[in-house]
Amino acid sequence: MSEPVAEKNDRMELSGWQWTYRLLRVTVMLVAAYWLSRTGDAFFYQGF
Amino acid sequence: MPMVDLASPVFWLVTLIAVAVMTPVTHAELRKWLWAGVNLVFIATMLRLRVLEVAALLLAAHITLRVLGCDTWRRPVALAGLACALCLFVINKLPLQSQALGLGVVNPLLAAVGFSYVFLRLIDVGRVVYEGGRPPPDLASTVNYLVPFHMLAAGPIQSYEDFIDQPAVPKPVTAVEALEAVERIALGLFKKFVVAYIIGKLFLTGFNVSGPYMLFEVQVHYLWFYLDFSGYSDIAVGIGKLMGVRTPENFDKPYLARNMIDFWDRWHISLSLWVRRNLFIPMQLAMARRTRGKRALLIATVAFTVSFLLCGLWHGISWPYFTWGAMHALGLVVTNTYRHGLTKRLGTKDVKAYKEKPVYRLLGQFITFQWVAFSLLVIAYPWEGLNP
Repeated sequence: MSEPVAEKNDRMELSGWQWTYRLLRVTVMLVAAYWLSRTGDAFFYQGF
Repeated sequence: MPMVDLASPVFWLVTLIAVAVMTPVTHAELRKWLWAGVNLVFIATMLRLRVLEVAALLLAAHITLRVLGCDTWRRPVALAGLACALCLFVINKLPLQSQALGLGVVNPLLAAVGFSYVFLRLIDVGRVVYEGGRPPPDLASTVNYLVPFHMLAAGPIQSYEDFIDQPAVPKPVTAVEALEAVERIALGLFKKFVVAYIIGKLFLTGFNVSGPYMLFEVQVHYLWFYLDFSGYSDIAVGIGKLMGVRTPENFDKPYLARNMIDFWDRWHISLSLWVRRNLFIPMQLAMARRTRGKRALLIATVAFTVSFLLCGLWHGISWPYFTWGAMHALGLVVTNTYRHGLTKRLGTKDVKAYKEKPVYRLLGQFITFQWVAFSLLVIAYPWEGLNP
């Protein structure tokens, strides 16, 4: 069964390397944020 | 201070549940009610059974909006609704005074939903329905517009028209769109919990310094504030994209603003647009009708001044916030007057050429940056420490 054209085009927009790089970047940012939020002081937005 | 904590696993669990539950649903009515359920469940994680009181207030708001959409009783109900909302707003902003008057019982409810923002949304939907611009929202939409969980912490303040005009069932999120949304969330968390946090720890003293370091801290404090606040907005926009819920952008490199009007096109954009829709334009139109279109500059000056003094008080009912509002009003009036004078003197074509000269652009950016940074100093400075 052939894939729907839209789904095929979506996966063609980013290469495997691009997916890997961007997911890695996301992971680094999330891990850094999680680690600092746990080991640093609790940081609440002193907002309005 | 809002109770929503982005570092709490509960917030992210509710986000995951919201995305998982809403994504496969293509029935418009079911989707709307599921989202309302998620929003109320989130509030319940902070308030427990007191979420029922919030639900009762939302029901009261819904009934009020229904009446605003009818011909009879509109005006007295609109005035009564506005008075109630204003009372709740003042109670929210002055918790100590409210406690002293025995009104503090509602403070936890108001803090949980970030009532400052709910107040603005109430005004917006009330105005649109009263003017007949859109029909009043049904009950689920009332909940979803007033207390969307991903916008409770720090906005953005979505306009009612933008909210009600969005498709009831959005297009399915593609894999790339989902990745972009997650990237946006990660960026927001990184800006807030890493970059802003480190900058704060390394450079900020709470202005408990004097001399040249104070000038440096004023600059860094603006940067820190931008990273922290825009981080919240990035997270809200990313979560909105994952859920298929329209969430407006709130920042566009405000540190590059070349004057105060440009600044408010780039900073807390949703608030700026709210002020324009609900304060500036109605005032401007009302005054223009009285003057039959004459004295446009004076009218704009009055409208800017009143709008931003109120904007300052919305942020906080105190002299520092009022002064902050006054500084921004002054900046806007000066910019508008200067622009008006320049156009009159040079003509539109030459003004464009003038604006494109790098020296004027850089000078404008520097002055604007300093004006905004010092206006934030007025709010952040520990004035109480000056009292003996």
